[in-house]
Amino acid sequence: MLRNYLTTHPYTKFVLIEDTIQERGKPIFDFLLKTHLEKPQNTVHYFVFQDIIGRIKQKLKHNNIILHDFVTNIFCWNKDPKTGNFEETTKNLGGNSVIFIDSLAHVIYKFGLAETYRILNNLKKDAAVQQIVVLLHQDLLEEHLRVEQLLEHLCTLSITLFPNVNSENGRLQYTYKKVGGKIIKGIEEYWIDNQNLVTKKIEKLDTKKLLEKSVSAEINPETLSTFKIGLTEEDKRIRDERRGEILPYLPKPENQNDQDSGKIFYQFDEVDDWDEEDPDDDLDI
Amino acid sequence: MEKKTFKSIPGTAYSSQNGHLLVSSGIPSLDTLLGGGIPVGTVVLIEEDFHGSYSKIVLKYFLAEGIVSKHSTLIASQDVNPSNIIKELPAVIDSDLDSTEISKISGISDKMKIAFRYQNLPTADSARNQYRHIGHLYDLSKNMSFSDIENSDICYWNGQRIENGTRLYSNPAYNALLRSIRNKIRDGKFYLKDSPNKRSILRIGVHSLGSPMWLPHRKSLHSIDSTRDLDKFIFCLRALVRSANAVAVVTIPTHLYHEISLDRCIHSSDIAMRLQAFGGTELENNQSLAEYQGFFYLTKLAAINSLASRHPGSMEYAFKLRRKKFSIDVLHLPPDIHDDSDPKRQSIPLTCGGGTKYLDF
Repeated sequence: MLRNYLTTHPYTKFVLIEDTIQERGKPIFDFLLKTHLEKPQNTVHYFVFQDIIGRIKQKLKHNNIILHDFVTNIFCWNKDPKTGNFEETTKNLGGNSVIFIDSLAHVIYKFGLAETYRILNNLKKDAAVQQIVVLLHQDLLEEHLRVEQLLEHLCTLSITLFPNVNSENGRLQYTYKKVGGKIIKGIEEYWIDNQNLVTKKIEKLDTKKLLEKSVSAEINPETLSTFKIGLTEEDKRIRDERRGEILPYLPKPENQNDQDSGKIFYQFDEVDDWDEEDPDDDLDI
Repeated sequence: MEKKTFKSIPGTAYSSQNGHLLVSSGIPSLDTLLGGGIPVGTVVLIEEDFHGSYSKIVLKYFLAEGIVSKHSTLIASQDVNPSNIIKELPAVIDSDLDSTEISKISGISDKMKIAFRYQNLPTADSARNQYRHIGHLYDLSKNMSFSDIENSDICYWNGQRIENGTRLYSNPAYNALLRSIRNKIRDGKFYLKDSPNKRSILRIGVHSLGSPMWLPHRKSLHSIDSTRDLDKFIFCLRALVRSANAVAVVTIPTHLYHEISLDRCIHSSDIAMRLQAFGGTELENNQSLAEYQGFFYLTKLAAINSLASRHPGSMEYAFKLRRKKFSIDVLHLPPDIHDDSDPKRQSIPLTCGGGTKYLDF
């Protein structure tokens, strides 16, 4: 399901990927980058705040990508005016642009949280921007829970990655805020298969159902009583053989006619409190 | 003398409780809850739901009512473009639905033959009519016409031009907004001491105040948890609004704040309400709440012009959003009789005797 939310048009405006050192979010980030690069009508703006710029240049040789280098000259030490102003750049994007920021923690280092939030909010408001994908390394932030809370307030789809103890595939938790006000939450297992993102829903077990199942399977009446309840094969065979046989303690049909049927006669007392009503009148028998 | 001049303000009425001037919030059920409407000169605080969509609807109703009643409007937001909020205001329904509704109700009561004892009991609807409704009805599925918006006095504030002012706030935007509200009140002659030719009401709507867009700047010493900007702002805003013919509705994403700073804000406001949406929570799939979209809490109802605040009657409310209408109802749980999804339930016979037969009286 998550893949639909990520890639179908119209795009979710703001995707936030939160990762840790144990479970890196780069594969999902790269997957989204790849899907956007495949569509020639989109212009991808890739803001590089970490990683080596040369390596990325080599790797991504598409026509519709614009790399913004914020690594080599971030503090303007070598007096080379090549490094643009981040905010200015975000304001002057063309139509159909898709924005990738790697990584947000570094942006927050540089500009502070309030400023970063403002720039991101302006981008989100910008109608020309198709989608914003942002990678956030949780380990790099002070008070990371607080920062995440604020950013999750802004984003429309947040994905938090966890390492999975049981299997090789990672685990992710997502919250998707639909335009109408509906909120979809889910936990999914994911892996990258041939540069494609595959997710599978992890079913949350219903404790009630589990409880019902476990109880019903275990009850064996034989163990609950001191009597022997069941019949063995031998018992069944004997029972079948003797079917129709009248046991000595049962009334024999020829004797039955002789016997008077039993009757109870009630002897009234002198002052008897006899209740005329049928006590079982209200019952439907 | 003065009362006569007040009476000429369109879209207002006097409270039957304490004689205070009221304006409508735009939502009839909310007006009833507040005792007829929002008192002029107060600050209403709305705690936003997680997504912020329902609180926005309440704010839109408030602003739309202002435009239809020819009040002046000031709308402020940093998170979204304030002109977009105005563009999406719901359209007013012209026909007077109220009277037809009442006749419909009385028509039903004529036919009440079997349950005739209940005929004279007040229904929830007639209780609602006990206050003369001053507002209008709106259709959420349509937007207000462009000409209506163009002809009204609307002031937008989006926090774009902010000068560094006083040191009172760690984010200068708060100061800038207060300043523009004051200027608007002064220029539009909304102060109580002013005597313009035609009195009107100023409706101030602040969307998502205190969201991360209002975070203290890096240079200031405060973080979001230690800053006192928000409650200071509400305090100052209340002081401004009290001295003018103005009403302010402020929505705050309070889930981003600690409880202590929230309490301070509620303390400085006059009326506080909270919207808690079911979406994305466990309550979403609760069958008995399926009719509603969330809980509505009235946290604070200030005593204006009286010693005690009005008791709203019930404490449990829920709001529902239909395609055309948003309303707040007293929360009733439906009778728990049909639950077809659970086969176990069905097998239990309701009768005490025969089992398969119907219950006999």
